[in-house]
Amino acid sequence: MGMFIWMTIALFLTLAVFSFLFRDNVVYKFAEHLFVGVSVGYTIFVSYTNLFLPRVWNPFRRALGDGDVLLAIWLGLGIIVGFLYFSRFSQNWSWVSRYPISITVGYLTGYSIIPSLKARILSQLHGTVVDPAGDSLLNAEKIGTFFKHPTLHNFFFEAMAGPLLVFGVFVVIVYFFFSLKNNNPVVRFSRNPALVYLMVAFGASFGYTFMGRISLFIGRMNFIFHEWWPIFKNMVSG
Amino acid sequence: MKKKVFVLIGCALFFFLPLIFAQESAPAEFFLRDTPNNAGEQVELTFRPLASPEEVPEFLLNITIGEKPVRVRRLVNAGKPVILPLITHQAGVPVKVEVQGVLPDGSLTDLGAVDVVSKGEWLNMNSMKAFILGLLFIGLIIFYVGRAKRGQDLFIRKIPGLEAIDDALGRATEMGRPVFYIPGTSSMADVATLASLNILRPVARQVAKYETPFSVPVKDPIVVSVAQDVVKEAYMAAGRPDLYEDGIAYLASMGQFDYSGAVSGSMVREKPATVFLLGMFYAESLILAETANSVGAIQIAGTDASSQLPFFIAACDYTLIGEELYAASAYMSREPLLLGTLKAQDILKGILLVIFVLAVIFQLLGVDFIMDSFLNPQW
Repeated sequence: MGMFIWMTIALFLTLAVFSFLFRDNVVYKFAEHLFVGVSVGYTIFVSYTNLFLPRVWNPFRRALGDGDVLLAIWLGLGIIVGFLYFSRFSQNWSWVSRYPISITVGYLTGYSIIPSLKARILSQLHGTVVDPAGDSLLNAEKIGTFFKHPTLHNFFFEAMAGPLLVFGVFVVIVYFFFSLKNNNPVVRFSRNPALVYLMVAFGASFGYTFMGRISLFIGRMNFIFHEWWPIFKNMVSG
Repeated sequence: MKKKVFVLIGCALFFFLPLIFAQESAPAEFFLRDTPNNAGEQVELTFRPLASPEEVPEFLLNITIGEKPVRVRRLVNAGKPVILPLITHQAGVPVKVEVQGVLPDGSLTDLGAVDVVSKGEWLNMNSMKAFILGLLFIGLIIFYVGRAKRGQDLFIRKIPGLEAIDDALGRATEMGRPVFYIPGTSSMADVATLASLNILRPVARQVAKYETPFSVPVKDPIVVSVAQDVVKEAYMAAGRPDLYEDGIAYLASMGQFDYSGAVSGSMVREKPATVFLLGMFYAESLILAETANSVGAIQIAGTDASSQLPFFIAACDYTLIGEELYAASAYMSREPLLLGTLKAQDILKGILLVIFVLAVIFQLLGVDFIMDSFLNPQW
């Protein structure tokens, strides 16, 4: 019975959220406020129990207990800097909160420079020149395969896959040059092919994600008709 | 004659010496070494089985890491070499691995032991190439920021979506409806969020000038603080500090879909005339864009999340694609720091494009030099 009550609440909230498709209404407002409240409360609790206690407070107390002064000072500094955020509640002292913000932004930005350069630039360019097996993407052998066996599959996946990728990367990078004027011949030449590449990629991504959303919808319908409904029917029929 | 004798002796030695010194080969060879380019948190065991799976079906590895009790790991003999990482967590931890072969009858045979002490390195040479590239980039930024500060004109081409901002704000003012600005749903660690907050400043300044109601619902608590400061400064710069209140930029919620639910609800109730969706977005992008569309708002969107761009392109009036978002903040604010960064970014892109074209040509000719020297992320 307890499970059925929870499942019925889940059903009610699912339908309450879907009711927004018709128009804004009091049932949706209730679900929205409940969702926001529960989510914020849950996040605060999880941050306290999964981050503050195990990563900061407990190591700090342990370091004090073990006499590890250096670690205790280090963690204590972190706690003090973190608490500076609370200065936003004061009109006169709210400027102090800029220090933890600048430390956070500076640290995270600096930390991500090298990994970004490695993963987003060097690895991507490397993968555009050679395939994972180390062969050049402009591979004459693969083009030859198409002429030996002229099929559509061999054309797109053997002969043209590499050249199309290399050309696409080139024109799309040129498209994102902001220092060149719009009437520059290189920009003019690359704009239309770059837009075609971008739109093909976005179209594929749209279709892929759309199917994912449909599967989420099917999941909710499965819950209603294959999980909640049989239990409800059993209860009604006694 | 003498020469022939020497040749014969040489040949004999060549053929018979290996037989003389030949020993029965061990079922496996293995060695333990400290993993290079880390802080000493890992060592690795390279294990190469020499006996066939019929002779020795599996091996037992008795692993001792520091003071921890011995851990026994069973390794099935697949006839292929294996590299096994062993986590030590810190430098200076002794690691010992004793290897035993399990014979077909179940009996064990000792194959020896290897040990090593984990040690850390000061430099991670695997990141050296990226580090040099980073230094080059920083150098270019300093150079171009200096030029921008000296007042030299740094050209940036027109970006279509930005031309529409003034019209969109004017429309909201004429209709007496609010402007919504959503700076993405990510944290300050995201470059897109930083770019979005840079665009927020000139938008907020215009909004303050026009006295249009303004709302900035945010998902991340730190972004709220920064957004409040940005909006406050913009209102002061516009000469309208009296219109500013802390509630303009507020924390709508901290979860992904409850945030989008809350913002969608606000949009339907307040019916904004203009909605900016600029920053990093995830699966909530279409929910927000579609709701804004349903209330008849002009939408100007921009993100560097390639998976969300299709939704913005489909549902919004203007979309800033990828890097256009970063360029937009420089274009609108005309701040030397942002202009210089954008110019340096273009120069670096040009350099990389030249290297890329050269690498493709050289690779076609079978020369790996450019690839290995510049584009391979490893040193």
